[in-house]
Amino acid sequence: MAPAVLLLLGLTAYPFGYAVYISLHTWKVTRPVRPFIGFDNFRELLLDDERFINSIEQTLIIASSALVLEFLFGLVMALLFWTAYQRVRWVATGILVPMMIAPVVVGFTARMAFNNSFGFLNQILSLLWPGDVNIQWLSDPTLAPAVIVLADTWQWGPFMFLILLAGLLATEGDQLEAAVTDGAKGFRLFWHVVLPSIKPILLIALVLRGLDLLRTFDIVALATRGGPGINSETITYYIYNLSFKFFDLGKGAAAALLMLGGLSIVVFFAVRSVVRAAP
Amino acid sequence: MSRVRTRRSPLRRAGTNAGLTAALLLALLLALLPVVWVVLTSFKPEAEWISDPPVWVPGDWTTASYSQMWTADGGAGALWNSLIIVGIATVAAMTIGSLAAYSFSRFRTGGRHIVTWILSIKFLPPVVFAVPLLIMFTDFGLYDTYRGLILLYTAFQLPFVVWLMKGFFDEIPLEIEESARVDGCSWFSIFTRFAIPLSGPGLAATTLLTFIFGWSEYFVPLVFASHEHFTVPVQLSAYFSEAVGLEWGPQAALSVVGMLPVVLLALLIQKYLIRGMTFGAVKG
Repeated sequence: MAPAVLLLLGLTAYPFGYAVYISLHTWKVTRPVRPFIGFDNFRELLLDDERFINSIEQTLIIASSALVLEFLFGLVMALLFWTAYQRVRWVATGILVPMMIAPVVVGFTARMAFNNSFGFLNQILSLLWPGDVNIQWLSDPTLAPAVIVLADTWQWGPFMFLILLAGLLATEGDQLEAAVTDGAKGFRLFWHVVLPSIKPILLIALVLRGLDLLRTFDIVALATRGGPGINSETITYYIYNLSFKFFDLGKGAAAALLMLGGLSIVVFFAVRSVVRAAP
Repeated sequence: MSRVRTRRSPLRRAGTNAGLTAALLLALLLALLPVVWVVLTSFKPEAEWISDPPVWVPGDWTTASYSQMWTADGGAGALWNSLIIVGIATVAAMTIGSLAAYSFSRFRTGGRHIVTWILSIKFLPPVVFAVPLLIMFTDFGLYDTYRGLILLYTAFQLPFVVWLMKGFFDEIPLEIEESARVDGCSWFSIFTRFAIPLSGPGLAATTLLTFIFGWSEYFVPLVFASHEHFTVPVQLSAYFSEAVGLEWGPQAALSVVGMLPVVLLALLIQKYLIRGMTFGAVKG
């Protein structure tokens, strides 16, 4: 155990302390002087940096939309699959292919697919819709975040599906039969019997996906690069830009610590719920 | 009481058989169409990469993108780097992680808090630690070296290995090890002679998943490597550079060569996918 803990401590605790130190200074790669400025970086980010606030908004919008879409897709598919699972197992194998592809490839594919001139998405939509569909997915300020949402849903919808299916397959048949005998059906059956029985697994799925979505980086970096402008810039992507594009390490570290603070609260409750829900 | 069970599902009415088949085929199509597109694009001549309207099947099948990716664009180097870095880091993380997991499983070392702390690390975005680590790595001469990258990959994979392996070790009945203990075996030889073989399938699945996650890792090599040590994912994103322009063909070719084998590997351990991706929380 010792080597594992030492390695993790060395690569988390020390950098954390260092990040605090950097965040309290004006620390730019281009300037040799690095004066101490207290909490000015934090104050600037929170009160005076619309781009930071924008990145938080975009992250929350993207993460929550993707989470809802993935959940709905997973639930509908799992309910459909539930009764016929043994017969059509091979379909599941096909559906989980996206999950195994590197997010970088998903982002790159999305950039091609959603292109308004040579992307195949508009082409397919033109077949289904009357007229020639020409949606400017990547250059429209509201649609660009949607591209990330859709790409993430394509990749991780299958994950929700498999998790919920595992939950459904583990529910007790007896309990269901009893409920049916008592006259429950349709939505009431789902809401009062099925849903409670898959609740622990559902919770784990939502927590894991939610945490992953809050730090979305790879797909953003390849599909939209935060654009157009900053309309699909997530927090992690902004922090990356601050540190590695604008070389403002002080502000980058401060933004990273603010994110860490916010996430720690989420992670604390999330990990606790996962640990508790685990059988 | 009669043991006759109706296997009719109460939710059966949600979809007739035809509707079910249609829904499944649609989902399958949605899942695979973009993959098919990438594979086809990798065989297109340059003129068809960005033709409007899009062309699905190459008019003139060519492997030019593959040879360009392999020789001129550093694809071969990136594959080699990925193999070295991810391969060694996977072995290292499995070794250190399994030992830690076994100790957590059998002796409850450090109590629940350390285990929870280790899991939390997995959820922190690497961007948070990037700058301090980068300065630290530059000071130690680890920036842009195999050693440095392997160290980082190992560390980032550890929480996953520890959690998953702890779950597999927890499932081994204690009786075997207790009787071995009575016969005078040391804990280490119990670990190597009983725990490891008994958790065989789990160990194999964890190793493969660790490798796959490492193979997909983008952020760490993006920040901690320069061109010479680029792995496949960073090399893929490098085709976007302003200087070179957008090279869809070679990018698709590298996706196919670099990613499809991994996808196929993953299908081998389909049974363990959900368990792995939920850190053992859902046994699937």
